[in-house]
Amino acid sequence: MTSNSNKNLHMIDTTIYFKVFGLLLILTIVTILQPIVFHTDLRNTYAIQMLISFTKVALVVSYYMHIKGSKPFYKLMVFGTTALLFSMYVLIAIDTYARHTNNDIFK
Amino acid sequence: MSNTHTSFYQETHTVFGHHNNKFLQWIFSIDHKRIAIMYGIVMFSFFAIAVLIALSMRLELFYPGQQIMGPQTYNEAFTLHGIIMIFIFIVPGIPATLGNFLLPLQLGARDVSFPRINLLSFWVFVLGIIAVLASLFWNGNAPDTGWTFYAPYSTKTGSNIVLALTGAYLLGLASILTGLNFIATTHRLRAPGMGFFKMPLFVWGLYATSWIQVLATPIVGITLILVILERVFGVGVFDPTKGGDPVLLENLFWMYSHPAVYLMILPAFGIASEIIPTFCRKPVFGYHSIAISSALIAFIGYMVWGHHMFTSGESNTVALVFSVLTFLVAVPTSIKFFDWIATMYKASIVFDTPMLWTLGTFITFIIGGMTGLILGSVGVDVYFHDTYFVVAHFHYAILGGVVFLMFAGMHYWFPKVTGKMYSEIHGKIAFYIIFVGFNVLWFPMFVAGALGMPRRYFDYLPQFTIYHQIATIGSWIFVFGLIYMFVNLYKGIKKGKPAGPNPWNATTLEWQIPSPPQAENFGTIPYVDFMPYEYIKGEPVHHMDLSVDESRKGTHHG
Amino acid sequence: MGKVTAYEPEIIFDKQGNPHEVVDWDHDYEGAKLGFWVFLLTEMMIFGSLFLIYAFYSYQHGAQFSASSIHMNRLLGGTNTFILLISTLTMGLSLAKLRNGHVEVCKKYIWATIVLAAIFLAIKAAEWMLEIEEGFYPGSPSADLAALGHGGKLFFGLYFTLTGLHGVHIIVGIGVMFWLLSLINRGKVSPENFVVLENTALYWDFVHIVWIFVFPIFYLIY
Repeated sequence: MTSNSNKNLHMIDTTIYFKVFGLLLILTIVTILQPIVFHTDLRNTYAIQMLISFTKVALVVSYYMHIKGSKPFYKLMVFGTTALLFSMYVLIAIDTYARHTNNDIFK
Repeated sequence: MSNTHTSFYQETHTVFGHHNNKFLQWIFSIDHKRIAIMYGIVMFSFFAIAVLIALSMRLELFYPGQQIMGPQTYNEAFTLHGIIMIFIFIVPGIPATLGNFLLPLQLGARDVSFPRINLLSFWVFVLGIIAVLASLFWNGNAPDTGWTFYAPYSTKTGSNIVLALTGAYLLGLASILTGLNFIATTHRLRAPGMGFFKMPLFVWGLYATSWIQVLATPIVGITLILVILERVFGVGVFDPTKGGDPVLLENLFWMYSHPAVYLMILPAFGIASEIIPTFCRKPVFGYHSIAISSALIAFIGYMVWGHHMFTSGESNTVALVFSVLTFLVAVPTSIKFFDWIATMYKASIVFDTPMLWTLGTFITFIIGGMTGLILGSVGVDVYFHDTYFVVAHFHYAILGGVVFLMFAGMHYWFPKVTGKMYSEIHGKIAFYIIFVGFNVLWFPMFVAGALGMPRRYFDYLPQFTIYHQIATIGSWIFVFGLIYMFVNLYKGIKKGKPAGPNPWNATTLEWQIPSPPQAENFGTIPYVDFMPYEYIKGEPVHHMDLSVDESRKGTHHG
Repeated sequence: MGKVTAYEPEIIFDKQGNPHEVVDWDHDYEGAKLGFWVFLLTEMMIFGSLFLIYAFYSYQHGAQFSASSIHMNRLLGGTNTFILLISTLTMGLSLAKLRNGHVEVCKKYIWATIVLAAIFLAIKAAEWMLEIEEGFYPGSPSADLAALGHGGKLFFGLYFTLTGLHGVHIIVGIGVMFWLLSLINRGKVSPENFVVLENTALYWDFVHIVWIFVFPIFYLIY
């Protein structure tokens, strides 16, 4: 395996770029229309919006940032960092849920 | 045998073209070995300043009441002591000095992956220091918040917090750049044949550390930017009058600062893993478990930060969660200790200075670690938090763990870096003086803390006097020992005997090249199909001469 | 960078005589990619922490966050969302064109990205001025802001912080793109040597990802 891998060039097919762009466009329109067309309470709004956002991010990371075709280590790095952030969110969430409320142990 | 090789002290690669001036050849050098030395000189200069600050604090505390400084000055003193020791000395610490010097050598590489970014990290480091120093004198009070800059005091106090935090931000950036460099280097520049599980354990320590540097430091970076924004623009993220939560700052702060202590100790453990097999002259016991335990410590260490906040108002639920995780993180560390002791079992041990330092550290670090478990128990911590018990705990762990192993590494790799040997007898004497002084200085603080002596107080009740006095005397013994040690090393540089490539009969790649190394590090890169620390009957299995043949010098890289 | 006319990799041999290439730090495409991804992880941690702070306060002041969101300008913010989306397409296309050998088209796409980014910034600046005029900024004495309580103060504090930091990243991105154009003109970035453009495209994708989260949490929770 050469370290200077430009020798293995093949022509890039840009079709996938446009397909993903189309999907992102649709999702963006959906996300903007959601509060108007399907208004719901704050919690559900957050849930729907974050679902759409994470889908868009997954598309960008997989295709635009080429994670899908990358070596497993890149996938590990991205998922690992996401998992780390997630663990921090979980610990703060536990504290927020319990602090000075009736949900706490030994109130 | 005289050293006929040209060393990296005589020739180097630089940025911004070629320079004739020697000083410019150093500060513009992209050679990892020179960058390591520059980091070392700056870091130890500030270490000395921080030690002097500590001595003056201990002098003030010799008697109750005010003697040489008032409360405001005392607050500024321990703030500066903490900022220097943490951000300027121990966080760059082993990675920026020994790591920079040795990582490429141990991997069989000619430099790190991004030498120019390496130099940039040094300049950013220096810039950060300038900002911190400026905060002492610029138009107002020196920072007095403690190095932990808790809100709301840090957002309200009149002292030069913005400058100090800008400095801290830059110092953190330097740390991130170093970590990024080391990750890429470890993945990309290993000698052919050297898989991850054939790397020396010091590299494993640096690698795990680099991931902490890279993933944890940004959290404190954004946190201190938010404090700056709050002071300058009134963004109320931590201000209760605007709905903000000071405890959130504590959470964000410790989300970095706790992993930071693992970032400090992991390279130090790596040094122990190098020294033990060399001075026991047998392969290390449990190579794989030591390597994996480094990764485990790094991983679990991200999830224990709340044990700094048991009394800050976090919920009991999460306090218990953090306590359990804190106990869990001690397990991989114990695995390392068992492995090291198992390596020593039935070995013919050579008790030279590096080994002495390592074994001394085992004693002091175990005390530090076990008292950490005491503090990690929520019920006990309610009583011990913010007392001298905590101060003693972290000095036993950081000073008696990280710094002592740094000294061990300095004595171990001294001949490689300088090409000379220090006096062995004076090295041993220095160790014993420092070891005794250290324990006289810090051990009484466990007792004082348990009896209720609060930390960061410039004055105290008369019943604590005896502990302070013993500690202050200990500080004088300790510092005398430090001076003794550094004088011995300095004399070694000036007048020491030539050391040769491998004075310790060690097995890793850095010992198969001249001391000091040549600019290119290696003549031929070896194919590494062997484990590190392979000894048979006390002798290394592989002897190699990997020096550059200078009679046939080829062209260098640009 | 050194002027190396023809790079010849260093080859070593193992005991069986098999050749192995030694990776040279100065010619390491994989290394450059890896290093840049690690940098992006640090950015993930920065913005991840900010989103954590947002989530923390949103949980406590949900109603006031929602009420604050009503005051956001969805026309400007929405336009910016589409502009940024198109700019990631142009950035990605510039990389594809360069790798396929169409250097001049690549440069045109980079220019397109720069222009779109500049428009984004202009609209953002206009939005900020509108919000400041209406009194929705940290420290504002306006009664409208006071009516939104603590949640409102936090909402707008976080809004300016997040969009400000995002804007700084866009400014830096524009600077990098100008530098890229100069590198292409000097032949330092080419169809054979394109890692700098590839990393810039990754950076731009990341900037877009941040906005994918920033936009709904401020503009669409009304």
